[in-house]
Amino acid sequence: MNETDQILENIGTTEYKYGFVTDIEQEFAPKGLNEDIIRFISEKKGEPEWMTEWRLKAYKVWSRMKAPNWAHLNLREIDYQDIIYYAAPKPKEEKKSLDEVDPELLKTFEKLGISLEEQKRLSGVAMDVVVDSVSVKTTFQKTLKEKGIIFCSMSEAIREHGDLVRQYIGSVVPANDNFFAALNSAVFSDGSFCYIPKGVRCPMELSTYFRINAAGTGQFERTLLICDAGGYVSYLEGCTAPSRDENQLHAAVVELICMDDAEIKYSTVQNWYPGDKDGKGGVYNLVTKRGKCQGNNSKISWTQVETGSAITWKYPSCLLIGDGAIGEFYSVAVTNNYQQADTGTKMEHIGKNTTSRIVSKGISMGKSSNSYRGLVRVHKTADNARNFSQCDSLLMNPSCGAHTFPYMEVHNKSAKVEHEATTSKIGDDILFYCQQRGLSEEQAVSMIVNGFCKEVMDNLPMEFAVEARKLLEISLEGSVG
Amino acid sequence: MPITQEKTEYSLVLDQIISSIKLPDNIVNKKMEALSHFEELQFPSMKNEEWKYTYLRKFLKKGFAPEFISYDNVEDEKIRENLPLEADDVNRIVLVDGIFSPGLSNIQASINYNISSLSKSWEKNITLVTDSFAQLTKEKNQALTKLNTALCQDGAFIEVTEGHSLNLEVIYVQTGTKKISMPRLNIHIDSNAYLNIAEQHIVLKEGSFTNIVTEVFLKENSKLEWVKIQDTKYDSHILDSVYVLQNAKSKYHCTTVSLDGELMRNNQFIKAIGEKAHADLGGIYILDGTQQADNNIFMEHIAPNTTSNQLYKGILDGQSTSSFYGLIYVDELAQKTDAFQSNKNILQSDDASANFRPQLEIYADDVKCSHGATSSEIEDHELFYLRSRGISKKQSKALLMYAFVSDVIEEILSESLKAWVRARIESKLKIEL
Repeated sequence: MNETDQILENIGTTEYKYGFVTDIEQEFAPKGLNEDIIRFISEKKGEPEWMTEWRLKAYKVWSRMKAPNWAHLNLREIDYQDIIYYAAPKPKEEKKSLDEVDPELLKTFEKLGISLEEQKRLSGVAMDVVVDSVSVKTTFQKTLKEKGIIFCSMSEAIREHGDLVRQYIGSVVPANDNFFAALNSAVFSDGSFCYIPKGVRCPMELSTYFRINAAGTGQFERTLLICDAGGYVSYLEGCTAPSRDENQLHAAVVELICMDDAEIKYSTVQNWYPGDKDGKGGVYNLVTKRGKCQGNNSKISWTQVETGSAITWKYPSCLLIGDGAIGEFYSVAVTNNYQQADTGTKMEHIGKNTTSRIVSKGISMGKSSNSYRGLVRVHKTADNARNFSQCDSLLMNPSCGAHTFPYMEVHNKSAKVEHEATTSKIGDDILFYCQQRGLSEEQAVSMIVNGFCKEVMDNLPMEFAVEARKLLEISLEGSVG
Repeated sequence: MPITQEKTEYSLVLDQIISSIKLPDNIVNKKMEALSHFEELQFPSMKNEEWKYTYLRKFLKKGFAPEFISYDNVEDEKIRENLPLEADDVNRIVLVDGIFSPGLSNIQASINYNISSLSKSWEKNITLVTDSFAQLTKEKNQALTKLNTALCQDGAFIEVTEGHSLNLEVIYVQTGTKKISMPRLNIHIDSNAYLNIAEQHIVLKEGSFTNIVTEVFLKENSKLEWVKIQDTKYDSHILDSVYVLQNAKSKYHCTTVSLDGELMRNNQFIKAIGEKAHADLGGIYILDGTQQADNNIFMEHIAPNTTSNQLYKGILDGQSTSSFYGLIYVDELAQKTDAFQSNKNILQSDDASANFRPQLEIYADDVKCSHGATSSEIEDHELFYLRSRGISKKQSKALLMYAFVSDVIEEILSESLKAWVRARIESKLKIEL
């Protein structure tokens, strides 16, 4: 075995360092799913009647649907009756300051490296932390309130800003959109809600941290983000879960709405537990994310770094409805061991002069399978639409797979659509070039991988870029000098 | 539920075939098997991923159905009038509604090759034909190929023996009977042998529908060069599926030119199982009106050091539709594969639509695979350049389009075929210089 092989071999043996369980008193709903469970969740959260009805309607739709099987995934059949649909840290009295938060919980955040206090002081990131799909803490409420920005948990938003929620929830991802979206609509327990008023530029990054903690639970959070005319917001999302043998289910829905001249930047660093070396356990990450560029010259930009999850099924999409709307998708997906990823995007060009850009980088290691799946559809109305897509895959092991499944449908002559994709391994000539200049083989591999992902990493906000690089480093550990 | 013993329309056609020619048992068995498979699958709907952009049932609704075709109506002198002139050193196969016509075909006897009607070689029980029949098509779940396997009545068997070469013309004649004709070719090219095929379609009357299936076996270091022209006078429907098995160092080179015809669907299933096999696929489609052209390529690299290259270009006007599906599949064993694919489209009308799906499915790591796909209209500055030199707008456009597809034409190896394709495209684009 030569040195390169040795390096690549080492990569697979790195342990998942977020795999701890926090001992917090939890409150569970009984296992299984039926109308009573949905009523129970809704009641627990003190939701109004319309919300309960909406959930029940979604449940009815879901119970008639079948799980999709078109993705390039080997998905074990999920027993939806064997999942706890509601688990929450036990409610205590209302807390006025961070000091009163359950110290166990605070320790969790410290372990995650996201001490809330520190976050508050240093980086100025307003955060909403969701553990087992219930929002436990939202920071920086006051500063945001002064600007008129609403940033709170979904359940609070349903109680306090019912009209806004009612108007927009399900308007981008309707309950009957797909199997997992329907499931989420029926049982979602919490999530984040954000509203940026007209002309307001959100002064700080908004962030949500998701964590699955309890065993046998599914996490079903729902994010709704509305950016009114001329507004701007950058939103970050991070995820972890403890190591467990069984597969945990995560089926989230994210809806973005972007009005005239508004801009939303949505970044995700996903690091759910990927399962162990032999492919045991890990999170099933089955997520529906979609943004609607409703207004003219609106812009939605998705950036994602996907290193975790046993299975990733995720297609952050943009509906480019307003004239001059812009959609962007930047993605790095790293799979190792037995991980499987089927991810990509969908760009629907409906308005005139709409543009979209897709940059997807896949890195496959071990025995993993990594697929890009995307659709660019130029509707008849989309004069002068412009799309550029680039999908590159890097193969690091003889037994992994890298696949590209792009779809392009053009119905307008003035549209310009370009797509290109490449698949290759790190060439011996490139490695040789680097080593010739005094780099060790490890340094060379690390440098090449970093360069491969650079275009995507550059689009992450600074706070996240550091974390994402670290994650990539962990994924490549053994090869980084 | 009572079990009905009633026979389907398809099995009645098969009965007629079995009763009218003497078929060896294993052919009958293969046909029965394929038929039951087809009856499970049925004609594909748009829900079928491969038929997502092709509304096949709309075309079938015009009254096309598989029916038994008589073996006797193939010597019509009227057909001869419509055939192109014959070249001296070229053998010719004419299939009328899928039935081999000995009178219209022109085959010079030689020990270098064997050419005969498929039904005759079944009757003679030539083992090379009977064993290889449906060998390549069996593993694919293609409904229309199954239908052809079950209900094909005739076609041609072509064998080029070791170290020899053959120039061949294949002409499919459609008499417009509303019956779906099912020609079948069975081609064997022995090691170090070479076959060159020029293929075209002649349609005598409106209302034709043909479902062609070809199986090609390429031995070591053999070569097949094939030019397919789909340029029929009347609205016709052509479904063409080619299955190729490539042994070591073999070369497969196919260029498909789709110009006139209501529906032209070309499927290529290529499997490179020998080292250093190479496949070169080219395609041009120039469409207007309500025409539709589909190109589906399934390129499977099974052995190491195999290479492939795909280049497809299309120009769409009117309400025409095109669909391109190109899959490069690289098996775990196929290290050092080098595969490239490109699909480019020019749209001339907002009612036309171009759909393309270049796909990569890769299970080996030491490979170089890439694809590119684009769509746009003719650039204004290019038009301006030509117009500023005194060329009319219409001619400028025609010239630019001709230039756009010319690199596919240049890929054709034989000079005479190249000239033939050029002339056809020039007349379609109405270039007058």
